[in-house]
Amino acid sequence: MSVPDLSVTIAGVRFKNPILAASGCFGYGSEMEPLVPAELFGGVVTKTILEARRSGNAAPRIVETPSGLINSIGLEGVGIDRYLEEKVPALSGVDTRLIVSVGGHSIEEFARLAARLDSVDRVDALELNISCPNVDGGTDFSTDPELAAATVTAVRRVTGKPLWAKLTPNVTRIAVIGQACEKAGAHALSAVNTFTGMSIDTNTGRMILPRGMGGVSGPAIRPLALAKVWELVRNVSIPVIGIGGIATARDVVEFLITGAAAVQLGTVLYIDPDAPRRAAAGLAGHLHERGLTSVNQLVGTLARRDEGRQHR
Amino acid sequence: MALSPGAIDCRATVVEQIETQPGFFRLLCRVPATFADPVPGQFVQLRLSERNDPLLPRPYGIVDFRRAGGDAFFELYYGVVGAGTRLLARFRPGEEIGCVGPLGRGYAVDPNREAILVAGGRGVAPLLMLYAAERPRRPRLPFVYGFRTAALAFGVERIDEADRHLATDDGTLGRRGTALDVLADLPESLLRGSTLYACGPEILLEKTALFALERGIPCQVSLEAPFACGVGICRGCAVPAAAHDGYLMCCSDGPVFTAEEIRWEAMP
Repeated sequence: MSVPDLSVTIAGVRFKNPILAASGCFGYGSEMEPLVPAELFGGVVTKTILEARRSGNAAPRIVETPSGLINSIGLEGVGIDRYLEEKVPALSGVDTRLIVSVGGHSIEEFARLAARLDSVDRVDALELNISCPNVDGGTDFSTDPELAAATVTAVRRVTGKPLWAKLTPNVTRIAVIGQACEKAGAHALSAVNTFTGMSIDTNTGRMILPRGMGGVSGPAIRPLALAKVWELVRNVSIPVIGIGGIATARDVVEFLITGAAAVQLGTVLYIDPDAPRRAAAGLAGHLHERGLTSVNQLVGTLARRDEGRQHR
Repeated sequence: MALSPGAIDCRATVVEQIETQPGFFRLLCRVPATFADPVPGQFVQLRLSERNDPLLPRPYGIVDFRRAGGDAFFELYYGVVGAGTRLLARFRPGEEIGCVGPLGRGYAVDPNREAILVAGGRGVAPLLMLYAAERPRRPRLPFVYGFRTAALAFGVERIDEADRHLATDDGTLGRRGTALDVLADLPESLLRGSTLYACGPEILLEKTALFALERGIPCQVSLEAPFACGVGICRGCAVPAAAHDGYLMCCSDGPVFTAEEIRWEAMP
């Protein structure tokens, strides 16, 4: 039997495999060379880009929790000028799709950044980070359907690049936000960003992170993220890219079956440099074992418990 | 700053695990020959659990590194202080640990100046490696080493007697006091002609750095900060930078910094 086809197409962009690097977990794409080559991924999503350089929050910025990690980095980044000058060329000739995560303190900033990135050929899609929890007002864009839609609309006007809206899970009904983004012209939804969390030092009674709360990632949030992805895929007709504690081939398969068109690996990239290679190899092995020739035959095949088992 | 050149992801096989004192361990591991020669002050990231708890790898400073019979070996020294070190202490000879290294920026020894090493407690680890590398090139290499009590004196036997400048909190070995007390009592002429290389608790590092800055003596310190990745990607281990209003990353810009690079008054 031939090697299964791992490629997926999202908004007209073909990815050689459905495993992407999540924003904030793989720098600007080339820093982990040669330990983790960007070519392993179907695509890499950059750290969120803002207009200005940002130095980020004071330390400590991370705290470990059971099977999870709370971060409060604060969108540290080089700013758009240095990004275009140094970081985009670093990925030229590298066989992976480049998705730029775009941030903004205002709708106008999102639009200005998107307009500048529109003319950069190397950039295959934009992921709108309307859900960063660690800056003032950061999360508001994706907790309010009207603001989320307005952001997508404003960006839509200035770029022809495919737009992915990255959603926060910290809402009662994520489908409402997803539908608003879809209606405004988003081509895909990235779900989910981190869950709001906090941890305190019980010896001192003090908060550990200077801002108190941060965003929880890692295996701890995987089942929570999966439920959000499922809610979205049942309520929108654009592709959903699954994110949240995905670390192994088994996790990738779980999100694809649930209906994610692709997935992003995040926190695991801090831990295990070999995880992306193993996940892709394991996914191919899973398809092969089940006699599937394409990963698309797996996407959205979720069955109810009473529908009879599809698997052995 | 990007990934340390030569860093690899490998399996480290435990060769020897010895509890030198209750709660303190010396660990010897074998790694593939492709493991790069570490600079003193560099570290390894060890993945201690396959079950996501603790989730993050843990950094350990390298005490010694050697090659023999086509393999490479590194030695670590640690005290059991939390979930990670509790798990590490359970590894037995023959068992494997996921390992990435060598990582970080180590000490940049100035061959044209005398050197004084300043260690506090478990911070002695990377300085023992520095000592072993530098001692043969120098007529003397004063090693200031402060720790709680005589029973916790790790590696003292690796330091030539003439170089030992010891202090313990309880006076059971060397003088009663701290490493800083000993440092301050060294001859002014020696201090002026030397570079200080320090590792240990943050309070010791800050005081050593300020001591050096006041006197115009070059000083390098190895800092610690909670981080996830160890390679500069997660941006978790922010250390306030003196040169601008931003931060340096402890894991990839350091962990060794010059005293001038750090905005000490802004340290958390």
